[in-house]
Amino acid sequence: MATTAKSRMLTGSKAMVEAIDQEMERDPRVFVMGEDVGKYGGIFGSTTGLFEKYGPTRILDTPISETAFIGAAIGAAMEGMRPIVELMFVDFFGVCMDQIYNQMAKIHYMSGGHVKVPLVLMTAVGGGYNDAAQHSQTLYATFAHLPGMKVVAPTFPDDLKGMMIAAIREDNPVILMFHKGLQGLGWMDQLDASIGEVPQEPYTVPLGRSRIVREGNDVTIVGIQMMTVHAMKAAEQLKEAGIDAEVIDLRSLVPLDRETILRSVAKTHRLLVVDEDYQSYGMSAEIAATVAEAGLYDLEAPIRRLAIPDVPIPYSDPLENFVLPNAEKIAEAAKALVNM
Amino acid sequence: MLTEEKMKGGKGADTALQPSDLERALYLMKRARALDERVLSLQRQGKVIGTYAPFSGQEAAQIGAVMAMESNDWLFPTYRDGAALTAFGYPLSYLFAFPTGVDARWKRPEKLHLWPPAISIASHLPHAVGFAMAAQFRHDPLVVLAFCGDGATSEGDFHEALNLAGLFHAPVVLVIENNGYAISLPRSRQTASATLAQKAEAYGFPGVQVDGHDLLAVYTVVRRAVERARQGEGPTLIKPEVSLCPHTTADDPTKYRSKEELEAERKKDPLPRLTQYLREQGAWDDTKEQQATDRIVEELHRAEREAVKLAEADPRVIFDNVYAHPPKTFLAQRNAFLRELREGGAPS
Ligand SMILES: Cc1ncc(C[n+]2csc(CCOP(=O)(O)OP(=O)(O)O)c2C)c(N)n1
Repeated sequence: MATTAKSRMLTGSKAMVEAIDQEMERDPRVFVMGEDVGKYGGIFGSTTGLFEKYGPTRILDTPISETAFIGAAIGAAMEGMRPIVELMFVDFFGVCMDQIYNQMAKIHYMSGGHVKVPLVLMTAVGGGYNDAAQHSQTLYATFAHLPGMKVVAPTFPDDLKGMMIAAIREDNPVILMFHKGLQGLGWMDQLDASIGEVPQEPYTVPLGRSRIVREGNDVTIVGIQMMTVHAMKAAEQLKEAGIDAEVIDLRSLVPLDRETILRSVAKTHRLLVVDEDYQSYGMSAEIAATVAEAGLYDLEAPIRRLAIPDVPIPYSDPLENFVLPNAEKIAEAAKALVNM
Repeated sequence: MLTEEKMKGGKGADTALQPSDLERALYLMKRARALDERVLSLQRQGKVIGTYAPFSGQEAAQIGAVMAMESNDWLFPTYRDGAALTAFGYPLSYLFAFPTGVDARWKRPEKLHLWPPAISIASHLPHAVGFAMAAQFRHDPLVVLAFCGDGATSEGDFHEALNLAGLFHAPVVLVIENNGYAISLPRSRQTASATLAQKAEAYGFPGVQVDGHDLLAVYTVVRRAVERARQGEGPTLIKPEVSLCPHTTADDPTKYRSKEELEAERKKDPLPRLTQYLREQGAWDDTKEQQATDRIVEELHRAEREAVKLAEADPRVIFDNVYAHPPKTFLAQRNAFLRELREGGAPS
């Protein structure tokens, strides 16, 4: 999407809020429901200021009843509304998963295509700030595995806005994951990547297309959200070592932009996939399989994956740092691939 | 915990509390408050990393309830129940350690009848009921005491657990600490029910309200409920009203609560209340106050020192408790991961 004269610098959370705000202005069917989305403005800032503007009939604070309010959002969507519902942390999907994957994702199919569920389920993902095993997961693959819904995870503020608007306008249910560390919140470590230029007017970014955030010839590094950010930092380190890395920000898990990855690997002949999710049966495996199936002969080295080992995410700061991939680990792995 | 005789106190159980028990209660409350304030102050200095849920204002409810338990009983706390934990014998050092170094939060001394604190709201209530049902099945006379917050009463797990408890007469005492808020959502927006205590009625057992700033009152009603449960009369729900601020260290209560409201809540502080009561009874004076303060300072210092020792980070522990019997494939992944960490240098 082209940046225009009307761009300003916004944080991830402000970009999301602007998207929701503009869609609510445009379409009276859009409303927001979730825990602490009202006066509080979403504990990760996804709805800040919207309650003041739209009031309690369009910004609904719910009790801690995830099954009830996600189920209710599905009902409202079926009735013709376009709900945005927030699951405070993706980790709590457990208490409401039937509504998500047996209902939200399957109703269109099981009604023979008669009933649409145009719903956005937005949810905070990611660790790195010591919130322990039940508040630090991304669970990308858990959701991407299930048919019937789109699953997107924008990294940068401009994509957060454009993909949120696209998600609201979709007739499919969409899970939009936002990374807590990329919201640009005052009480977290503030990363440069959490602030970026965002056009003022409404626009959409298509769901299902990745973005090459750094071009290079020696190795392809595929990441999403925080792993993209680390990969870009790693690419700087690699540059000093004379290695020219290409970094792909997936942005979307379902649909998955396989073409961009294959094209990149055809150029670099090396693939490193980085995932802030458990290693086994994950996004990294899906991408590795894609390249093994359709790009094997382009490879000059085995595919490499960096992910969280198959352990719950530790609460303790040093222990959590051990399990999360970071720029250094990515650079190491990429170097090893190139020097193979 | 109290003696066998006091357990038989029945209706007048509060009068069975000796002044020495109340002194102990006051000491535990003061110690818990000091610990809470210390952790928050360490956090402000950037020395505690990790989310921490303070409990200041809820000490009387938590400690009063724990004092009503017997040594064979089991406690099912939430993330909010640090005061209950310390009164229950949970090492203070662990409370200092868990936000710093190792995952001590999940540790507990073998003999402590303590379930790991629930983090997913209300998730532990079905466990508490099942635990109690199992005890009943094995004719073990233990009682399970579970805490939860007012917000938890909206979860499906809460309602399903209560339904089961009522149906099977599970020996459970459920203590809902109503601090008036679930993060930013006030109690009035949590449910249209007139009271939280009346939720129990729908499931066929009694619900009792009590002033949670009053340790004696909490102790008395919990004591009765524990006895009821032990005598096979089934569950009780108890709702102490308490005050609290803020939600967690990642939270700014001024976003949704007025200064006046926070000030009014602070005035209900359970600590001065019990202190004054004991002074009036002649069971507390300046000397005791000073002795208590000195002892608390010393205990907390010791705990912090011990916590530092606990806090050495060894990456091997990440893999230690994932499985009771780790599969070979898991061990292979572990070894490869640790080797790589060693070769790449431990990331900071
Ligand atoms: C299943 C689930 N949903 C949401 C949350 C996020 N959350 C953490 S604490 C909290 C509020 C809990 O309020 P309450 O039960 O009243 O307890 P309090 O924190 O006030 O002690 C919420 C919504 C969670 N931990 N688990």
